[in-house]
Amino acid sequence: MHIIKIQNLSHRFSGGSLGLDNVNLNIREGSFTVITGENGSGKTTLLKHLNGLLLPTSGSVTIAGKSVSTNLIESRQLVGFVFQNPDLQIIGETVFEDVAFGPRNLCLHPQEVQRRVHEALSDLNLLAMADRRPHLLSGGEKRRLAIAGVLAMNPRVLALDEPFSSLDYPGFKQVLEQILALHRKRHTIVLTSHDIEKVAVHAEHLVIMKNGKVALEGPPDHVIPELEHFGVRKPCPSRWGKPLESWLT
Amino acid sequence: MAHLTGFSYYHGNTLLHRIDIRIKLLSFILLTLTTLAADTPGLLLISSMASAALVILKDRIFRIFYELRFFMIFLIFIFIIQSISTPGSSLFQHRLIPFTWEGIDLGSRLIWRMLLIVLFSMVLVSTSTASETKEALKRFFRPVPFIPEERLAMMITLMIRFIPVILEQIHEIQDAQRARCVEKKKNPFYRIKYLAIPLFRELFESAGELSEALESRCFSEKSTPITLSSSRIDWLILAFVLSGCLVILLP
Repeated sequence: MHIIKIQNLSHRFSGGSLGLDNVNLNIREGSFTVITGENGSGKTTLLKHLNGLLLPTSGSVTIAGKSVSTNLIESRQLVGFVFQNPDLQIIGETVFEDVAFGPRNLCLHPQEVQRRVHEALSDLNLLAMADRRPHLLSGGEKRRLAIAGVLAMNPRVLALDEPFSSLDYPGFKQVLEQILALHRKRHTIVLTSHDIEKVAVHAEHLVIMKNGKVALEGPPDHVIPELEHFGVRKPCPSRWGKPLESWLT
Repeated sequence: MAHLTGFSYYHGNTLLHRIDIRIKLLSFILLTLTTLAADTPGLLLISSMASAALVILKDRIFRIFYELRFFMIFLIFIFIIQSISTPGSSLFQHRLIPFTWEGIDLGSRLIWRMLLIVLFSMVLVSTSTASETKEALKRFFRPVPFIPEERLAMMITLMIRFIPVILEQIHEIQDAQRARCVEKKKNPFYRIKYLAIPLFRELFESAGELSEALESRCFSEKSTPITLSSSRIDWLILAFVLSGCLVILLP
């Protein structure tokens, strides 16, 4: 079943430039999709349409059968969006307060808020840091906190915008491990990355964007050989004709 | 972003952390207003209250005073201006340094008041979480007609919450400019101009991203209320502050 259906989606910014140009894309429930492409190719713009942060100029986006444009709040619950810069996404003065922000906005009962925060923090291995100040966390911890913040809203899809940017190797490993753990728990993962090397082996579906269009999509075996035609470097093992390896091993 | 300021919450379990936020806010307002109206004996009494608060936050004192170092320069500047611009009997006869006894008296009381108000606000912000403050402000604004209390409370708490982020941005821009030898330019207006341009651009971009982040986490004017409860100790503290303010203000 396709949880995300994007049909003839175009988006024109207020300045007149075309961000997305007739995008068609379906994403299966529980899949791990990586959207790649050069800077300015439309990856983030596409991602922002998934929970209605941007609305289509033409075309449609449906999540679990419901149009995003007409069901904004529901879409934002279904699709948890993790921004590239976690510092601006983190609102709370403590890790606990930050994760509680989303569930409180959903007007949940205080006990349910407590339960969800506890669950999200333990899923992301942040329970021991519940009372710490978010801005004193490391880059990887902040990124995990940003994921916990949306996870507490019980989304079915996690949309992550460049989740590995500015992370060192330990930070990258922490974040990737958590994303894979969430994927194993049947969350649909959609992430953007201009550097495919680190995640290619885990992806089930690769999408290449170019000039606001989906240039190529499909299983990694089919897409990876073509990456360099669209300004994305092939993973090293592919260049040497070897099988892809996980960065976690 | 490990560089934080005294104007940010730090987790703890001191008496000041445990006081009901509504009582804390009311006490803060009372003490601030009284500080503005108090004379020397009153200021001494309020200073003893501020000292007591700082003693409770003992591991925070150095941080708070460190953060106030630039503010102190500003206070000294105000003191000098006040001392030389107030007419009165001269402290010593010099046409270039016309300090007066009255100016020194007025100036020292003015900076004393300002310092106390800043200290109280730092204590308040250091010991109260944004969500508690938002909840208390929401309840205070609720009876006021035509005021969207949730939105206003959120604006105030976001402002407090993002002061460290803004200061950090200023710090980064200054570092980037220092790396390009901005110190060789002695004209302060030149330096302020080249600090303000990237800072405001950054702030507007950050504000845009922040509003998207709020939207994506379903921020609306209705949210789960936070339980606030006050104990006997809270009321005793309010009574103590109130009676102290009355003693100072009443002739």
